[in-house]
Amino acid sequence: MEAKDGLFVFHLAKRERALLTHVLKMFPVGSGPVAPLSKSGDEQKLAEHERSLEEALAEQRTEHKRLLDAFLGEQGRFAEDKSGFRLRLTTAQMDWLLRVLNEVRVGLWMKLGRPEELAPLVLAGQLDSVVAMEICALFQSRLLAALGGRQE
Amino acid sequence: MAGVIENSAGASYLVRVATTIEPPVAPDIIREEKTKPKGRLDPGFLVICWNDPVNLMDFVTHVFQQVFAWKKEKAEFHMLQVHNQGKSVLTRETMERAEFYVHELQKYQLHATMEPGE
Repeated sequence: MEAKDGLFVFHLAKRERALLTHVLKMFPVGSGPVAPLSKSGDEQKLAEHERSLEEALAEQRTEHKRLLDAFLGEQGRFAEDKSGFRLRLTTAQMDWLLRVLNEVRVGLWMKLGRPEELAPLVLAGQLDSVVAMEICALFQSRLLAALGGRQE
Repeated sequence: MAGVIENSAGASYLVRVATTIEPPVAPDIIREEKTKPKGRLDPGFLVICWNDPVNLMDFVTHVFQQVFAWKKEKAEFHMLQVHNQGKSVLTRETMERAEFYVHELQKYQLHATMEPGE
């Protein structure tokens, strides 16, 4: 990874690019919030606010999907070089990509029943979902490591 | 009460003293108890982030930095509180602001809620 003037360039091997696009194409995985707005508030009083949260998340999901389609369809987004591909991202794009990857990861986790551990799910035949979650985590870690130096 | 009254002069004195020191009205303690202290802060709402087994620790730190514009040290402190203690109170706000922060945190898929303050 190289960073210059707020632009980050990631070097991806061919299979890494395939893995990244594979998990991004899974978006959106889930729907609805990860948690209610409140655990202890007045349910009736908060009902309207809960709907507002659901709407805000649905709007964001639609916007992410629109940006993601443009991102994956853009000519030259993954510039080919000798060893694979170069992916250029601004800081804002990195934050956005982190959100999308995390939404895929958390969406899969919710679909799997919010397990405490993933290992038993592999034996239970959920290997594809678990692997996709781990791929998301791998790319998230790379993005966070790159952003880490900037955010000190 | 002062004791046994031996003669009329003493009795007269004690009666006068007793009359003088007797409070003219009942103490107004009851009224004070009923009065709410002025300037007491609205307890507002607490924005709480709860632990979950799915979000990466570095990602949670990143989100706190983005949403609250905190320095990395403060963001990491709260992330570790979430991780080790199961939750962290991130801020106390009015209902509108607390709702805004919960929306922002949940847009990053963090398990965040707002709870009435005490």
